[in-house]
Amino acid sequence: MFQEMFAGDERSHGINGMIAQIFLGLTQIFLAVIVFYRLYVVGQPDSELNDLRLLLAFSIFGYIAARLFYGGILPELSWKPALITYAGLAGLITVVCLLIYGWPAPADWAVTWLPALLGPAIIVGLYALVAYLGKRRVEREITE
Amino acid sequence: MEEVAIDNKLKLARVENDLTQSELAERVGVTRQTIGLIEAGKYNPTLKLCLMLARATGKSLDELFWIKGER
Repeated sequence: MFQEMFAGDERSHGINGMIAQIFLGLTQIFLAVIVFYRLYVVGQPDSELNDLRLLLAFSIFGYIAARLFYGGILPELSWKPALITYAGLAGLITVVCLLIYGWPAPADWAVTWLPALLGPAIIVGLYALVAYLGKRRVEREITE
Repeated sequence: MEEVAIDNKLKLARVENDLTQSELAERVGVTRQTIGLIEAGKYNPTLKLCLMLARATGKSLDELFWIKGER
């Protein structure tokens, strides 16, 4: 009976995928709500929320990266657009942070300038890597 | 991509072969519910399953499935 209940065919696999996607999205939204609630309503310090934020970032970026990789349809980034994207992202983050927190003390560079400049580099780098690997994977499958 | 509806005569082919939904489902390795939904036009099977259904009922693919309004 239990075997029948969990018998899988192509239709149930499709349904499983759809349900997993919906509940993954809901989980990510609830996690984000919890983080914001604890941060801005309860007033918990930043450092106490690092585990939830890491989990949320892993879930969101992991999901996007996996979809893009298996889709294999991302346009590859050449140097010029990559640099422009990096400069745009780093500039935006810097300006927003300066407006909110003001000019940081030089001693705090590791928690101010470093993440603002390194974060976008990691995002652009990961995008370029996923686009390259995803496209290579699909092209290899086509030529096999 | 243009949305197209698929029509089929799986039920007729199954009855012609004197098969129940469960028997046909077992032959092609899916659940009875999937066969029922295909017959009701509420689930579009993959090409692989279409071919297996055609083989199990002794029909050709285009005898069994076609784009709605084209026949």
